[in-house]
Parts: sequence; C-alpha cells; structure tokens
Amino acid sequence: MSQSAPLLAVNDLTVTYGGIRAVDRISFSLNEGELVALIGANGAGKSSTLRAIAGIVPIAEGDVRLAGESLRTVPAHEIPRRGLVLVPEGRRVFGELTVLDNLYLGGYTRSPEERAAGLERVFALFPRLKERASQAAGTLSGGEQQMLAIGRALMANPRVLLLDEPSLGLAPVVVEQVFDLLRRLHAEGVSMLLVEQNARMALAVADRAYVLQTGRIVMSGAAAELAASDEVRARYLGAGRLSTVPLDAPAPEPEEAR
Amino acid sequence: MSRRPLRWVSALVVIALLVAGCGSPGNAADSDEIKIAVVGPMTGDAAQYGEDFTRGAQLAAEQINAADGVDGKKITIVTFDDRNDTTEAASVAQKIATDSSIVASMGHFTSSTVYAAMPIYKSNQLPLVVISASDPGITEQGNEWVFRVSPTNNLGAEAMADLIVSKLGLKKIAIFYLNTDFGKTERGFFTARVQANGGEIVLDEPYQPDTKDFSSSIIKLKNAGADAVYLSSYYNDAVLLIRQAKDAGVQTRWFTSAAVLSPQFTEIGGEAVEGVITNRISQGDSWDAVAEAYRAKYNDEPSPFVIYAYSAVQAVAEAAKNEGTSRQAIRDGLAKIQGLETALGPLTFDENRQAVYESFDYLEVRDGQFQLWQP
Amino acid sequence: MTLPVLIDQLVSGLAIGGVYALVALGFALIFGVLRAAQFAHGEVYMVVAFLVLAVLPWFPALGPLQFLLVIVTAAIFGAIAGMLIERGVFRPLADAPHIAPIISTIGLMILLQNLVAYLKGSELHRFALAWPQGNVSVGPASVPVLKLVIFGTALVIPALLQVALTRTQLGRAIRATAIDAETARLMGVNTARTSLVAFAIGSALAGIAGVLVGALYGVVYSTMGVTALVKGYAATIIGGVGNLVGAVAGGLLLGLFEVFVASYVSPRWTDAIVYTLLIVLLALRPQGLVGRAIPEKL
Repeated sequence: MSQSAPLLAVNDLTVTYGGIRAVDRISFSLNEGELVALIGANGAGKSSTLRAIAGIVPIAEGDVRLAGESLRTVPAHEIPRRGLVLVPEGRRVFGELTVLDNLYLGGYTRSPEERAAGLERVFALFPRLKERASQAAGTLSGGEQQMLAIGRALMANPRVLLLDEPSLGLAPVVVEQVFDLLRRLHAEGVSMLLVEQNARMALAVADRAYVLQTGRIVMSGAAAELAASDEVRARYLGAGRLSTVPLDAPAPEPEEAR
Repeated sequence: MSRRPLRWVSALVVIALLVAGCGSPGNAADSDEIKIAVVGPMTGDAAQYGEDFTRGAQLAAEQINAADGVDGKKITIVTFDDRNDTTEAASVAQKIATDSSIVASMGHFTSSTVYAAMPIYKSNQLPLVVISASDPGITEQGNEWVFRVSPTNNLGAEAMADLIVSKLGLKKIAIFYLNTDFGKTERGFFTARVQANGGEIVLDEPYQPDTKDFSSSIIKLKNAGADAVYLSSYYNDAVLLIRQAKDAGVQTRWFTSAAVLSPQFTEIGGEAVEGVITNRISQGDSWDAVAEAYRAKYNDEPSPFVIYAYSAVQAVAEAAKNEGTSRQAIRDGLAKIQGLETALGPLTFDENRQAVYESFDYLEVRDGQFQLWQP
Repeated sequence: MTLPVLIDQLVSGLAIGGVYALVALGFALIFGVLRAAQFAHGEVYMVVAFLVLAVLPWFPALGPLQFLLVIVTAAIFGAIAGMLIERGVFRPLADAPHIAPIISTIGLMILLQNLVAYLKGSELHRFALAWPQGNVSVGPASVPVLKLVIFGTALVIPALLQVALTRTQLGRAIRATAIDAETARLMGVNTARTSLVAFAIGSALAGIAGVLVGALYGVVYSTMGVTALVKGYAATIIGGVGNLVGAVAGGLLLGLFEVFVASYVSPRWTDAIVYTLLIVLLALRPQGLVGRAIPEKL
C-alpha cells in the first residue's frame, strides 16, 4: 500500500515458552493508518505475537521495529512512550480503581496537559465513561469495561494500537458496538493491529489480514480477498457449519502456554 | 522375629548409658579441680542476672584459688544458658548433671526454671545451690540435693508489708504482680501480711511476662486511690510500669520486690525511678570487701545476685574442704554448714537446706543509685 | 466505669492501636505490591528505633519540632532500610517460588534481631523524647499528651498516604501495580520502580511506628519487632488482607480491644482472647471485618 517503510515491521519474530515455539519466525507489517487483523485458531500464536511486540513476553528471535527503531531490547514499560500500546485480552481494567483513575493510568507516560486533552477526547468518544468516571471500574458491564480498556489505551495517544480479542466474552450486541468503535478509530486514522477469533467481524473491518496457524503465517492478503477465499471460509468463517456462531477451527496442535 | 535381637541391643545400650551415668559422680573425686556449673539467663532480656551470677561466682573462685584453692584443688566455673525458659532449664540441667566432671551446680534464675530443673539434679545426684529463685516451696519439697543461699520471697515481701502499712501508715495499697510462680507467691505473702496489719488492697493487678504496654493497668491505678504501690516484678517490668504511670500523671509512693535490684533498674529508669523503695537482706561483715573487689574488677556496682553467687561458691568450697570433692561429699558438706562467714553474713542452712535470714536493709533510689534508707 | 476512665481507656487504645495501624498499613502496602509477606517488617521498625535513638542526642530539644524531626528521620531511615531489603532480598527472588522470599525474610528477621542484640545487648534501652510530655484535659479526663500525639500521627500519616495514592500518578501506579502489575507495565508504569517505592513507603511507616512505640513505652529493645509483626499482621487480618483502609481500622480496633479486655476482663487474658477471636474471625470472615470479598487477583 504505502511506498515508505511500514510503521510497524515484524521480522522473523519467534516466541518460545520453555522450548515450545508458540510463534515461529513470522513477519508482517502495519502501515500508517492501516487496520490489520491477525486471525487464526485458539493457540495459533496470535496473543503471543501481540504480547511479544508489547514487550510482555521476550522475543526469542527476530525483531520488531516501530517507525524503523527496534523494540527488541526495550522494556515493556518504555514501549508506550515510543507510541505503541496494547489493549490486553480480557480487558484487564483495574477493577478497584475508579474509571477516571484507570484513564489517568492510561496517560501515565504523558504530561498533565496532554492527559487533560486525552481525557477530553476519550470522554467525547465514550460519554458513558464520563458519567461513570468516579465509579469503580469493576462495577462496569463487560462492554463498558472494554470501552474503558480501549479508552485507557487511547489516553497514551499511541501511534499504534494493538487489540487482543476485544470481542471476547461480550454479548453480540456489544460486540457490534466494539467493532463500530474500531471502524470509527480507523476512520480517524489510528493505526491498529487487531487479533480476533471472530474472524468474520475482523475481516469485515480490517484493511489487510494475516492468518496464523500453529505459530506460522499461512496466508495473508487484503481482508476482503481472504474473506472470499474458500479455505478461510471453511476453516475460520464456519462455512458449512452453524454460521451464526463465530467458530474456531479445532486446533490441531497443543494450546500455547500462557 | 528378626527384629527382636535389635530390640535387645537397644535395651542393652540404654542400660549401659544409665550405668555410665550413675557411675560418673565418683570419677570427679580424683580430679584436681572442683568444677561448678553456673546456670541462668545468659541471653535475652534477663541476661543481666545471668551476668551477675557468673561474675559473682568467678570472683569467689579467683579469690579462693589465689589462696591455694580448696586443699590445693582449684575451683573452675563453667556457665550454662537456660534462657530463663523452663524447657531449656530442664535440658540444660540434664546436660550439667550428666557431665561427670561437674560436682555442683548453682543458679536457674526464676522459681519456674528451678522447679523444672530440680528433679533432674536429684535423680543424677548433683547438688544444686539456688541463688535467686525465691518461692518458699523450692526448699519445702524434701529434695535433699537442693540448697538455697538467697532468701525466700515471703521474707522480703512480708518485711515490705510491715514497712508500708505499720511503719509508714499507708493503708490503701495497690499491687502489681508478674503472673508467674515468682509473682503469684510473692503477691500472696505480701497481701496476707498487708491485711494482717490492717491495710487494704485497693488494686490487685496481674500482668503477663513480656508486657511492655501497661496502659490499661495504669488507668486502673489512677482511679484506685492507692497511697502506695507494691510491685512483684523484675527490673524491666518495674521500670516500664513506673515510668508509664508517672508519664500518665499517677502520683503515689512506689515500693518493689528485691528482685528489681540491678544497675539496669536505675539506668533505664532514670529520673522516673527516683524515690522507689525496695529491700534486701542485711549485709554480712565481708560484704563491703567483696563489693570493693567487684568494683575493682568490673568497674560496676554489685547487685545482691552477685553476692548470692559469690556466697554460694564459698559454701561449696567449704563443703568440699570438710567432706571431700565428690557430689555426695559436697551435698553432705553443705548440709553441715553452720555459721559459715560469707559475704551474706554467717550462713546456716535450716533442716530444709534453706539459708536462715533475720533482718533486712531498706534501699531508696537516690541520684540514680540504690542507697541505704532509714524508715 | 466512669466517663473519665472510659476516655482514658479510649485514648490508650487508640494510641497503641495507631502504632499497630501504621505497622499494618506498611505490611499491607508491601504485601499488596509484592504479593509476598515481609516477615522482617517488625525488624525494620526495631532497627529504625535503635538508629533514631543513636542520633537523638544530636537533635536540638525544640519541642514539637524535635518530634517532627524524629518522625521524618525515622521515615527516612525506614525508607532506606526498605529499599535495601527490596533490592537485596525481594528483587533477586522475583522469579523464585513464593516460599523463597518468605524464608529469606524470616532469615533476615533472625539476623537483624541477633545483630542488634549483639551490638547493643538484649536489654531494654531508654527512649525518651523531650516532647510531648505531661497531661491535658479531654472533657472530664486528664490524658497524656503523648498518647494523643501518637494517635494523631497515626491518623495524619495514613491520610496523607491515602491522598498520595489516590491523587498522584505515582500513587495510581502503585495501586495499579498491586492490582495487576503486567497491565500496569502496559500503561508505561515501571513496576520495578513502583515496588521499590511501595517498599520504601511501607518501611518508612514501620520506622515511624517504631519511634512512636519507643516514645510510648519509654524503651526500645532488640525483640520489639516480633510483637509489632504479630500485632500488625493481626490488624491486617482484621482489616482484610491487602486492604489499606482496613489495615488502619484493624489496627485501631485491635488496640481498643486489647485495652478493653485488659481493663474489664484481665490483662492476663488479653492475648488469649484477642487471638482466639482472631481465629474465629478468620474462619467466619476471611475477608476481614472491614474488607469486601477478596478480589480475584489475590
């Protein structure tokens, strides 16, 4: 798409857990303003990929470059300062803290003025959070918590936003809301890398996608093309099965360690 | 079946050990030294008393040895730490009693530890000289291996009750006592004598060992209207209680058991313990000479426990001189002592092997020191 | 029971309870962030009390100002001790099994106790501050100023801490680290630093408690930390483990309870009754009297 160097470049990334290769020399890229999806079965290595990029699990081999600079040896807490933020799987809001405290923590790397501006932006995006600002985050509904998790990440004003299974465990109506939000952020020009088991939804919002299978990229291309491919349809979109349920292909390999 | 020989072997080993243990006292008689064990709290917050024991005994041994010992045999002091703990006291006593080179033991600081250790000395036939524990019961049990040179606490406590109620005319008395054998028995004697003298106990307050916060007891004292307070305490507790009571604005007169007698009492107590009154048995003629030697050697004021330990060594030496240096001979020699001139005055054991005491001196803390005081 | 007596008892209970509260608060803060019990917490309290005693002769006798100076010095000594322990004992064992830091802090506890006993002796050491002294009228009662000041200190310091934890970014970061350290790191929080800071603050609280109890009893001694640890731990249980407000409330309740049992039952039964009730409490309400159900992260 873009002629310049990609905003986020992943080269031969390998992640191992006690000798088991959860992610095996994968390479992909994310350009400025793009929304790229990683899809695949449970245990395919999608989350591990995101966690390695965010610095939470060590990179065994290969490299991750953000705007040309390697993140390989950058400690996890420095990575948000470089402009990359991960919204972790399961939302992981700080349940005992207030909504406002959660958002302030999202802007931890920024100046007080920037935080104030960020707060305004997030409240504009999620009026619901403003209403509940002084409430403990743990008392929010699942959907609201997901909004808070994303809002919290936006407080850092990231150049790249990584989202790990944002639809997991949410009611279908709420899943719709989450994906609406992703579309909106995409339209605003936020660069995003999305990991989803709900491949149908993911391919519907993404520009491009990569398909992971047991730690390797087995397919890649424009999201629309992948959604049309017979194999993807068979394996990840549940064609020929009960199509109302987002399906996981049965993982042929053992689950990745977490 | 196959296990049976093993069982026999074990039994034989045990019997052999018992025989060896019983036979051992005889060996020591041939030795050219008289080895005496000094046991007490050498560590922990009563360690000061253990140190007093050791120093008093060492000083006596050195002086006796300098004068050619006991018929040429030198007295050796070995110290043991019972950490002022009853379990530890029993196991240390076992260790001492089964060491055949030791011919006499002295110490165990509290009545509780003495009670724990007494039967062990008896069954191993090793004489024990008690030098501080003050429960009268210790020498009333018919254990013919246990002697005591220090006074029983009924004497001191009863003398205090006479002083406070009869001499000073203070009728409303509060008593604080350590909730142990020592404190409970002393409280009993004190209370009975106060009542016999026409006084009234307006507050009767026990406290647990290791208490550091006396707030609630002090509030009771504040509201008890006591003319005088008597403490059946050791120096640590007494200092804390008096200091905290004074901080809380309590105004009364303070009297304590002789057990507080220690330089630590005035050192930690500072200005708070000025005016506190206690007593001790009257001093013998040679007390001053012993105290002088002690000051010269340790640059410190001797407590009564130093003197008790010193006198105990004198008594053991005398027994060895008269009867011989086996455990049995020392026991018999101690029992026969009559009017022996010691630092405590003439020492005589009664039929219960308890040293006989008749008169008391009163001491007041003045200018940071215990000084003689006339009622 | 008359009103002056009751007031006197309340003030006494709140003073000693305040000391327990500070110890418990520090213990809970450290436990919350590091997920490990700091068994040498009482020894920090003891060592700081001895260190302050050592430097006390150099402090000018300036009344309340001297007291303030003593508190600040204790906090600084405590913080330094805490950072050394975090770096020396907890950090190297970060990836070791949970039992490892427990064993090594128990070892540290024994080591420090014996070291101080060796250097300073195991006897009581006089600890007296020039201020506060004397008594003051509270309603119909006359109570020691010292106890009021100790209680006040034990309220002001947790209040300041509460403000710091809820109103500053560092405070939020510490709380976030306690709840979910990994996610905190994703927010850019250097959790290694926040644990160090939490450890320093928790240990500073222990240090302050150490000098307060020294002033309250008038003495310090090498085994004083054991009682502090036991009482602080009991207060933490009463308040609910990992609950900071609960730790303070638990400490104050424990202090009051002790004084009232000693006053109306007998001092000889205080510990027995307190710990029996503690066991009952643990069985009936493991989340503590004050705490809510234990959050899933625990």
